[in-house]
Amino acid sequence: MTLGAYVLRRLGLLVLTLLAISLLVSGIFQLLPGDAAEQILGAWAERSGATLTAMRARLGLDRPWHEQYLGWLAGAVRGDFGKSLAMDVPIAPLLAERLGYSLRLAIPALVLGVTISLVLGVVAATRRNGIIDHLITVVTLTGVSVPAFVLGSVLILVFAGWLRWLPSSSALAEGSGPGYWARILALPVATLTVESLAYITRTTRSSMIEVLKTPYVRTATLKGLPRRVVLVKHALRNGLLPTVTVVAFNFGWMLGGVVVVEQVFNYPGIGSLVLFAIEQRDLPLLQASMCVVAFAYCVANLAADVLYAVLNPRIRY
Amino acid sequence: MAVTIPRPAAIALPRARRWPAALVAGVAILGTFAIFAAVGPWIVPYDVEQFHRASALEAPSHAFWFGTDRYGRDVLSRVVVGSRSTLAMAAAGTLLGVTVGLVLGLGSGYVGGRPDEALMRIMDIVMSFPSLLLALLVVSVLGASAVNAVLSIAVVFVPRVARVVRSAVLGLRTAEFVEAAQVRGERGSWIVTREILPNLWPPIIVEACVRMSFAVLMSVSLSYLGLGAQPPTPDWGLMVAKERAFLVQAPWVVLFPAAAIVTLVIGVNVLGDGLREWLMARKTADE
Repeated sequence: MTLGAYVLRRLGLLVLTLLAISLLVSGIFQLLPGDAAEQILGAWAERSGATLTAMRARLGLDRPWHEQYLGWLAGAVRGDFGKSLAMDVPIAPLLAERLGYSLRLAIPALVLGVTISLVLGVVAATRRNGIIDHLITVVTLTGVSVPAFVLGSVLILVFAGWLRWLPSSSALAEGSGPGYWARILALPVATLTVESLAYITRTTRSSMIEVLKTPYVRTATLKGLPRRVVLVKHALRNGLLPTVTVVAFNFGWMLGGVVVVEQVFNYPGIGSLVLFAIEQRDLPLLQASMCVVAFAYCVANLAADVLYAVLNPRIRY
Repeated sequence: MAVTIPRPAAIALPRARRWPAALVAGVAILGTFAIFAAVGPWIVPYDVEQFHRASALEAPSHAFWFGTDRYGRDVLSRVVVGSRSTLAMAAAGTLLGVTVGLVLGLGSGYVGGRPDEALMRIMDIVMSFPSLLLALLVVSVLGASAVNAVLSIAVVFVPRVARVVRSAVLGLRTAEFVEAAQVRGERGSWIVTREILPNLWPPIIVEACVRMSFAVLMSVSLSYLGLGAQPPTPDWGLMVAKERAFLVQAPWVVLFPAAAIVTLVIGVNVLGDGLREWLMARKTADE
């Protein structure tokens, strides 16, 4: 199978997965006690009789479940997710705005995290069992053992409380320009980055160790190539293969990490939107945001698999 | 090149007899927290819900070793008793998730064919949600409480455990002792529980330890987000969240529960490493 056919097949599978996810989310919400109509009216304690029936009809909740789902799906495909109950605004623009904020947080963290951990992983592999290797292991293991909200709190304490270099909250205020964003994002990005280092570093380290043992790397060294060339041109390309998969996994982890980090720093991304929707029991908003997040995760996984296939010509699906 | 080959027993036995240091350290840390969880309320200096309004937000002192929070509650007492909430949630979530995953993985792996295929595709879909978001989804449906946080942790764990168990079962299904049992005409349930399961305990125990460390992180994170333990329960995640506003003014209200969380997670991780080492050493000794 050629690469093109493989990508096409995976895209088809992606559509199926997304359908399954939306069906699952929508099915789960059917199990909830109470519906959106009751929640809107709940504030006015008008929970029975004609008002409720009228509200249900207005929201389309009197239709059978499969019709509701298909209606929602038809809207969602056109980018229309309905209206948020708690905020009374259309969901799609809101979601797009918050997703944009979250990506400003997640993308720098992902780029930084991947870069730093690749360097750490390669350094650890080349100085295997040395002091630096052990030091790197300790640092990455600490990253795994410290939850994001603890690390974030400590960073706030040190950099905002004691040193007063950075703001303690990343809530959006008056201000713009790269300097403003850099100040606001520095601590959340640092938190996410440190939290994501461990897996990539460890994967890179162990796969590089394997690659460095291979005959072709030894040949390259023995024919007198500089160490740098051997590492970058020969070892790294194969050593990076397992890392690609871990990066995609990491992106998924980051989607969860973003929820916590946004809460720690009061940052208005999609994570805080999900939490807001849960608190307010705003079902349409929750359903839409969950689907969008799962969508992002699936696309990242697909991208990683395709990248893997491109990087590794031996693999043909 | 002359190589002296030591007799297997000579290498294996001393290792098997000695407990790995990591195992001892892990058991010590986890054991301490378990004791705190069990008898915490009887050994702490103050009642966890007692307000000492006159000394609110007091720095660590002789009277209050870890200081006090904004209501003047003793932070030391709340951290010690708080191990109950986190340990119980994490252990229950792990136990439930591993048990259900084990049953599904055993059944799916042994039966094979279409049921196996169908179950694994469902597990794939469940796993296509990032774990914390899946937990949020479950909690949002069931409502925010400690019990529901346990359920959500279990839901996240089931497919992951089921996969590990299933692949181990697939490896064993064609083993000679299993085929022998089949030829003897034993029932499927007997083969699974008596022939396959006993061989699975080492990987299951190691997997459970890995899961437990995730479970601790998830339960404190859920509590931090307000979706796990509810006030006024003394809970580490909740303490860090609720006292966030006083972080700079009174760092001890946040730093001590945070340190407890990190110590517990490190303890569980170290225990897992120790167990893996110990089980592998035992396996070498057996062979």
